[in-house]
Amino acid sequence: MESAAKRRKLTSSAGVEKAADEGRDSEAFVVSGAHPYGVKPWGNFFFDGGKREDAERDRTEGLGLFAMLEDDLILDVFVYLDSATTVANLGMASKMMWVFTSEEEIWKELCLNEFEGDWRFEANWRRTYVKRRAPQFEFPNDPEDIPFFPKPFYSDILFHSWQCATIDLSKFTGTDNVPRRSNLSFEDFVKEYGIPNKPVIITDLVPKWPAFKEWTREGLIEKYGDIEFQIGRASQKLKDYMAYVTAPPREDTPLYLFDNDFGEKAPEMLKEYEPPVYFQEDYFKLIKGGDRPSFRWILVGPPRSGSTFHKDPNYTSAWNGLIYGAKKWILYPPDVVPPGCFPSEDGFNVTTSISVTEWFVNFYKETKKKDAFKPYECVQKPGELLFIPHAWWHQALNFEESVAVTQNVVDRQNLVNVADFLKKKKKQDLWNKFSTELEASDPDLWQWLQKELEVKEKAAKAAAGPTRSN
Amino acid sequence: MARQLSGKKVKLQSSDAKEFDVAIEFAQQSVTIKNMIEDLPDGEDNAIPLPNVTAAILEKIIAYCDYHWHHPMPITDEKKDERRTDDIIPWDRDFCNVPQQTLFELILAANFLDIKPLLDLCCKTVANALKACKDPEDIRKYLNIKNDFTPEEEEAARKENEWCLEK
Repeated sequence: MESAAKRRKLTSSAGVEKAADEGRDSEAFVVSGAHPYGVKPWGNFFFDGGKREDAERDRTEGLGLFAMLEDDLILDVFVYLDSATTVANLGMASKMMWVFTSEEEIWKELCLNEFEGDWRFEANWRRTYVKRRAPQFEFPNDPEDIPFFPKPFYSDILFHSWQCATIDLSKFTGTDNVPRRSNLSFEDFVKEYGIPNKPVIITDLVPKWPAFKEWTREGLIEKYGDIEFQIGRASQKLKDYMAYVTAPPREDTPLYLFDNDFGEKAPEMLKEYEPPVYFQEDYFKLIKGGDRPSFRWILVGPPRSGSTFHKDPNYTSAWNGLIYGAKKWILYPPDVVPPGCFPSEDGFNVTTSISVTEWFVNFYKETKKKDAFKPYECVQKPGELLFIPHAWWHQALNFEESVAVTQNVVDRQNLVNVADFLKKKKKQDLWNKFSTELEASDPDLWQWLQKELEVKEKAAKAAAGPTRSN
Repeated sequence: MARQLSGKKVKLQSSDAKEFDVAIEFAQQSVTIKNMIEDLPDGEDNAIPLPNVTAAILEKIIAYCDYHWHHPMPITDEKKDERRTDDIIPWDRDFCNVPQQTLFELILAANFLDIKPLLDLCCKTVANALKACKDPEDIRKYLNIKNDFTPEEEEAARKENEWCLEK
């Protein structure tokens, strides 16, 4: 018996407006088709020639009392519905509610809250949740099918969310101005990049790692597939996570595998790569066991995963070696705040709730303006190792499925800044431990450090000006 | 808990032009109002306008702030606990025993005024009410939503969600 309900495929753009870009400035970006449920930004309303009252009425009828709230507040309230059945029932109340309750983030939250890492991704988060909860259930349709004829409506939030989840990232990957070096001696590295504290990409180290050959997607699954790695606030077997990565997920902020314990979970991995010769000095090594701050991570992520702008903690510098994939980086020097960022007073914490993709969609164009400060940018390719100088702002976007290793170091170039920072912290345990070990293991270095700290202190006082007597 | 009010007051003005003289400690539970007070030049005695909040809602909010200043709740650090919906205290439950229209007005006002515990409370109450609905029609009644599915579409949507019934 054929259902009379018409079906529209999510990927079809038949007869649908390209109005996504209408009314905006000419920096129109290509979106892959139109929103599957016909959601449009309010900017289109003017061009669509409809009546405001009609759109408002549709919204009130479709959302009921929720229409009193702005769309983002509506989605915030939905977070309190920690029941998939309720979300599903709400979604069946009206077509507009169906669209609102279909937001990936809602089902992702339900899934992670109820099942942590114990799920296997299936096309989208709704299906993933259902598959885990009711494994025998068979969906009557394909994931791209919609069980009813959609009723287009306006929502900036929903449109923007879909846009960020689907926008073609390659348009952000043009600029590359970080120098590439090979055959670089340790002394030259220190002289040209370590001391001046500037970024550089080394091209001839990573290809020598066994990991460069071994850590393919299949290789990793075969060797480490059953080990549980950190994926944010849960852990998951690598083989399950890879199923998610390769789906690929269609989200603004996909889950990112970011594990600082991989050396303990999978010690074999440590034999398959080697910290570069430029970074083998790391004074934090002196801090024993669990007190040493996290210093090495394995990073695995699908397209669109990444890290928003931040400075690495404790004034450490870092290196990042890409095994496969492609990463877009943007780097700003310590004293230049990137567009769209609002750092805390100590400059180390950033309050920004936007995702990496959102930053590119909304703020990347700021960097192209005539008088704007031009940051370092690069597209890191497999085999390339990026040096991230201490205290630099940096942001990374995987625009392909990517695997990388990264470590943070305290070496002679940043030791003074690190010590100065730690001494000023409220909690002194790290400084106490570090200073004790450093003084014991290298008294000469310790003396040198004390002198440098004094110089730094004097300079800071001089810069602050005469103190007021009050 | 014997806490003493300072006696200092601020004037708050609702959208329908009613003025309320409120203890500053109550008013400052709203981060929005707290910031506005800080921006006021010293000695200014003018009412703080709240164009998004009616007198009826403002009165309720003041009562909430009053009670909660006198009965502070333990602060929870756990993100999970913030979303718990089964730990509403009796006074709060009575406070929220209002028509759903009022609940949503409170959500709107608590969001604008940035009073997180009140926003949490109202959202939890709405969530609990929706969870108690047994089917989409119940939900439509509660929220006053118009059904725009054809019978066939409704059936197709229901089939998509049959997993809810599986145990």
